[in-house]
Amino acid sequence: MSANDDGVSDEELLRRFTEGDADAFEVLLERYERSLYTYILRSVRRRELADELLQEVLLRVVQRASDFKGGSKVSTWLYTIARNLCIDHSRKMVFRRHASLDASGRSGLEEESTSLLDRIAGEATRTDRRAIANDLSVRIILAVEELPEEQREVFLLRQLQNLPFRDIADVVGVPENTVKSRMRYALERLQRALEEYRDYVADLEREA
Amino acid sequence: MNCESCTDRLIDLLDGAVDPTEAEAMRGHLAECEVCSGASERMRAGRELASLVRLEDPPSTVHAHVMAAARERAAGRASMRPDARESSPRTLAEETRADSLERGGASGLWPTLMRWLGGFAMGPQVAMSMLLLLMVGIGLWYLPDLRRQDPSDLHAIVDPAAGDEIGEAGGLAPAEPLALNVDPRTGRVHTREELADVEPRPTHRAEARAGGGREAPRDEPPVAVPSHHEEDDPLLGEMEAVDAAPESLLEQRGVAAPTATTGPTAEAPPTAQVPPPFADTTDESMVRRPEPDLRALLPPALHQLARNRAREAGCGDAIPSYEQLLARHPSYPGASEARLELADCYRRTGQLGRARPLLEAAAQDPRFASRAQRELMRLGVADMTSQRGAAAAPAEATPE
Repeated sequence: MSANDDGVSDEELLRRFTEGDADAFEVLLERYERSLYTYILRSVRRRELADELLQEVLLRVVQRASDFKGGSKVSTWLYTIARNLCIDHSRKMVFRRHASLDASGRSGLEEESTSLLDRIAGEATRTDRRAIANDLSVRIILAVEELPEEQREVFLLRQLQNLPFRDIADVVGVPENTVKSRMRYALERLQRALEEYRDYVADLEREA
Repeated sequence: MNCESCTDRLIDLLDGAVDPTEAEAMRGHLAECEVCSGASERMRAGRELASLVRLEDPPSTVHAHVMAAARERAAGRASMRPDARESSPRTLAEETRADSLERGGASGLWPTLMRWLGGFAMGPQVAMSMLLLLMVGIGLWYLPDLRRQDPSDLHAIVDPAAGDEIGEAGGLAPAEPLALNVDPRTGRVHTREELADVEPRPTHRAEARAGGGREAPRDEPPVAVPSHHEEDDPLLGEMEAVDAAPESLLEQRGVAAPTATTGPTAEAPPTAQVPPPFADTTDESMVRRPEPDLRALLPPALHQLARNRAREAGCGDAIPSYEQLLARHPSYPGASEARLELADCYRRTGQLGRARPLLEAAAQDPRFASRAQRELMRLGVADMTSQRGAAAAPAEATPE
């Protein structure tokens, strides 16, 4: 059973929905739509496509709710559908991978990414933590999107939804130890990509 | 605890998912191992950064569409909205266009048809379905025509008219073997009827030997001997041996045994045991091919084997192969070349003393003399260099 704040599990909400309770589905939707959307967005890296895919995922959940037999968790089931759709689309479409931060069209960060290098270089002496934090967020997003696909999906499932490693293993179809290794590599890559921001992160934490 | 087991559990240690005993052991290892402690530090920093990943808000239209579909489903309605159909999910942009068209009031059969066609015309699934239906329709259209056709018409398509082809016009009946025989040496084709009708007669050469006054041989091919001019037959010597076909073979073929009408047929070469070469080529016992001389093929094969080993595994592995070859077949035509190759292997492996006698032996062969001399000179230079080096080393070792 999935953990939740209201005391009602995801499985119970889905069951109520199949019996005619649309409000139960809305509660379930509000629990997962942001994290699902972020997972899809960081996977496909195009906002328009992410919008379509999210809708497709959720409509499939609506149509197949009665087919869910409880063999796995609802969260695992949702992310499996989302992952499969992302894979199907990645096979159809060619993702333009931009190695430099000056690339455009990356999840709506065109202007931000273009000016990011200039801002970082020009503001080396500034002490505006808020501006640095915004830059850091952008850098983190770019760093996550630069992760290898198998590491990125594990990282997102763990970080966005806090899925247990064994559930992530069910979603991606690899052993649990492999999932942990990929997560380890993803964290190390992030750290290397954002090494210069470590001090700023520490300062942000102190201020928070 | 070793590095591998510690690294595998680092992620669990950071999550606090390790029992206290194991956690203590891991911390002890991290205190002593710089590599693992570095990895742990990087992972911890990566997690701090990862915690800054924000959740993104989806567009509100998605929520609205999905909830509308969910309410319909929950209400138990049989039909769902077009945008909720799984078979043809429409994008938000297409929905907006469709909605505007509907709101714009375009109605009527023609606009509706155009919209329907516009929606499906480019669909690959629909195109394939249409094509399949078209092919099935064409097949069904022509099926009655095929059934009405006279079966003889069908045979006319596949069978020639009687008498036009060799053999029976059997349509789909199994084909009989062609009643032909081909002389493999001359390429002439003879039917079995031709072979059966003509009386066997010896060639005119055999007649000349026999001194008979027979007339010149007709142009009809005998049972066992094809009629052709002497100048056309490069293997006339063999043909003479075939002149006298064994009676037993002719009887086997149901042909009347030839009667000796000429003179001393006893003078014909006593080769009755040699059958006609082309009359029955399917009997392999009658066609003898020369056996390959395996003993002659062995040394070149060993030589090639040694070369392959030198190329793939190096001189060290090739040396035994060369030595075996030269030990077993010292007089084989390629032995000199093998000696040169073996000498090169010895040189490459530093065995200069063994290379020299091989080169000297190869130099005896006029074909390889110059090459062997060059290698000997090269060997001499290598010798001098190694001797100089050996002389210099003790000098350096001598204390000042």
